[in-house]
Amino acid sequence: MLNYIHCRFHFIFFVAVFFLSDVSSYAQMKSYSLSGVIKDDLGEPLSDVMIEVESQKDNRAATGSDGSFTIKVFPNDKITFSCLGFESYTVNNIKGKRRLDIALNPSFIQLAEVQVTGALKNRILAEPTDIEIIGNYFHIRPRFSIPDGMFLSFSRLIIQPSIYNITKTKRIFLKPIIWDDKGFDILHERMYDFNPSSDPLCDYKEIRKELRKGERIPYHDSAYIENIKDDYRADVFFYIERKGRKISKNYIDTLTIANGTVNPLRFFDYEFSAFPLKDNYEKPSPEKQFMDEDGSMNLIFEVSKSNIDFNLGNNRTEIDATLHKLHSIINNRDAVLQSFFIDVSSSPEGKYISNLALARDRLNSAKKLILSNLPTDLARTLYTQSEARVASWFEVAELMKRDSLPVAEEVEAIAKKFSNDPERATKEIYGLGLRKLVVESYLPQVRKMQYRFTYSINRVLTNDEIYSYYISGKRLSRYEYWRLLEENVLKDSTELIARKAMLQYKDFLYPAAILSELLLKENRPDPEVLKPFAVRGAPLPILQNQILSLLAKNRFSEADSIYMLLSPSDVLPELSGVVNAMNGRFEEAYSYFALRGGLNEVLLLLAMKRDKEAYDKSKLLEPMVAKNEYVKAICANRLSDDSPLKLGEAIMAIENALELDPSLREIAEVDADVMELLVKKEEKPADSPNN
Amino acid sequence: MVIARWILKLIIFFISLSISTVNAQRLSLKTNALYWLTLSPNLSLEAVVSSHSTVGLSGAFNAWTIGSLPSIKFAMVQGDYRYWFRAPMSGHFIGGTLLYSYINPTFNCVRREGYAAGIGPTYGYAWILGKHWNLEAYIGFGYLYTKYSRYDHGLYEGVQYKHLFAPLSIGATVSYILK
Repeated sequence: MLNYIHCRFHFIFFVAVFFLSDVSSYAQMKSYSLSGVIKDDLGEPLSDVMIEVESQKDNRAATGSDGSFTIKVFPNDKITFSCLGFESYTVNNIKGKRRLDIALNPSFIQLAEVQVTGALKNRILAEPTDIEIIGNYFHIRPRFSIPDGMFLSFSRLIIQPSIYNITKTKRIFLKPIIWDDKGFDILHERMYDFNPSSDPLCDYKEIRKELRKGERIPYHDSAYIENIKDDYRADVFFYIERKGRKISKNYIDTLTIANGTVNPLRFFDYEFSAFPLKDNYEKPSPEKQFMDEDGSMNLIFEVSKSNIDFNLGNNRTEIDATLHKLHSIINNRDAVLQSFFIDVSSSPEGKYISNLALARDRLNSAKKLILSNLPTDLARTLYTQSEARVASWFEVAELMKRDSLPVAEEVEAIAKKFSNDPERATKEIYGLGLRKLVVESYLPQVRKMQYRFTYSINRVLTNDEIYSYYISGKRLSRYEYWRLLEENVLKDSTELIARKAMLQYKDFLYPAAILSELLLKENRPDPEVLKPFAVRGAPLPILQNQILSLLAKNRFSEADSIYMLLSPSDVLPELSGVVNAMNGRFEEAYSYFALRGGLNEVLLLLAMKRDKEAYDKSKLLEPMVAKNEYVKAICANRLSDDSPLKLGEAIMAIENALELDPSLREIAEVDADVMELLVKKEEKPADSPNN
Repeated sequence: MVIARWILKLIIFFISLSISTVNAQRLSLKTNALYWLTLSPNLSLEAVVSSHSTVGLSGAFNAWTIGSLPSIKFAMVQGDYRYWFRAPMSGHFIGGTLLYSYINPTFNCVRREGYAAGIGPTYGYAWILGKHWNLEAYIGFGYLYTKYSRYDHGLYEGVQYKHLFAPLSIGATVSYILK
């Protein structure tokens, strides 16, 4: 029997080799690519959704920022999609599908799943905290405590804080805390082929040996937020993974650590008027314009003659007028003659060829006449273009039609019929008895000589001229736009003119400055107007106006970067104070506003967390003014932990505020300093200490 | 000479194995210290095949006599499968092993030459020493079948068949994890 086994061994030997190669490529056999997009219940793509494929437990994938994924799967694989904050979704058998689009449902704030090892006290907890708004940044500073025995060997702890915009249902993730136990780290690295950077969390992870008893993990991060008036909440997701366990057996939890935002400076009170531009900018200088002048010269020639007879008809007057115009251009120091055109057409009666020759001859006469009146060097270099042609009977017919002559149609028909034979056409038309009419009234009209001069000129247009050019849509130079705006030619259209000028000349500062000043005055500021100009070295009023526009739009950080371009002595002290306050430099702002007292001083004290001083100063605020009462409520509520009397004060103050101005309720509902008072207000029984 | 043939087979085997396993997910190369104590060179290759299991193939041999000590000439191939509870190549595992060996020991002037084949379960534990290094300890017993020719002082005495319950794998192994 052993011989049998021996013989078989050689067979098994080689089979084993192939078996192992088979086995080792087991994961690649018959696999294919599955792709898709994961969205949330509102149709927004979800990024960082974890995808676990049954056949490849070690290789987990995640969706990209557009929610899409592509993974290698087997035809009957089971896939689980999970994302913190959402319910996991499992597809038990993908049945060879090549595309899978999934929508995940959000999971609710409380526990998604908790590893049951005992009482509910096995939960990661956070100390209460606030979302603080400083400028355009949201800050949170929670501290987390992890119960003993939760972070074990071969584990990874993930604490992922986020800020959730309730109004717009959008979530922003902050920097996560990732702690790996040493064993987890090694196994993880082996799994990723010793390439740690293929772990998407590798930038955040830290290797921790163990947690000391009672250790609190501090955390601080901030996020840049544009719309600070929306309602926000801070949620934290917790996840402890133990190597080798299924997803569902790990620890997953969510906690809301902050509701509403703390932003006392939302009531910060300031008003500035736009800074006038005055004279500190570069004025545009007049530019050369290209002009052309048209005209016609009605010269009479003797029949079949091409020489110009000055004494015939109005020839002298016509020629003089033309030459006069020409000379005025030549003699104008600001003008340069570029070219001139002459078009000559002769009438169509008779032979075409002789008519054409006649036209050409007449053209040459005219040309000679003009050129002889120019300085020789100019005559030589000037570009002339000219056309000599024979008018057609069609043109005559058109003229007749214009005069509403009944014969016009017949003439047109003849012209059409004999378009290639004008001599024949002539005969036919004359045959209709129209000879006298045509010769006397219409042929002279098609016998024409027209000229055109083009020249460039440095010309300062008058206001009326500029105006008419603007109206007619002609392209104006920077200088002309400047004139229009500076001299306020069209009072109501300043904005339109400025915008047109800005559109044509993208680097033209003046209209942008005028426009931004105007918009600030009319209380509809637009930071985009001055955006390309608000750079280092720009005139002071420009930069200050841009700061004002940005402040008005709550873009405090951007206002700050413009403010940094200026030296403090240049800026209006009050404006400095405001920019400092709205960007977290409370101490500097306080040095200005403390002297002036009032609401702003109290708000700054609140921002600096000098609550006792704020409370004392708030007592000096004018009573029964809605905002003042609101702020008094904040001050009292901040001290209410130590003193229930203050809580009563706070409730009363907020009640007053909401009565005086019900619109403040919207703000109160998102304001972490007072939102709890609203609830208490509803719960307040009739015999509270305040009554 | 038989041994030489076996060793050659082993070498060819490992070369073809390494070529074919180049696509595997994770590989480790191991050697059993206990075998080295008996001056038997050995090498095994282990490959991860799923999120919780590995298969391995090993080869060992001993082709010498040292002075007057009993010689334990043999050439063995052994395959095993392991199921790991936490993660492959870390922590506890259970598995099974299959072995086939050419044996030619000499003891007290009695030489037994023949073959042995065995099958049985194993259990072990792997410690992580570093990113690339592991230490394993394992033990396995099972059914062993041998057929050999017995030579007493060089005299052929006949063929014997034995069915045994014996240890099939004992190891204190150091492994190096590739890729």
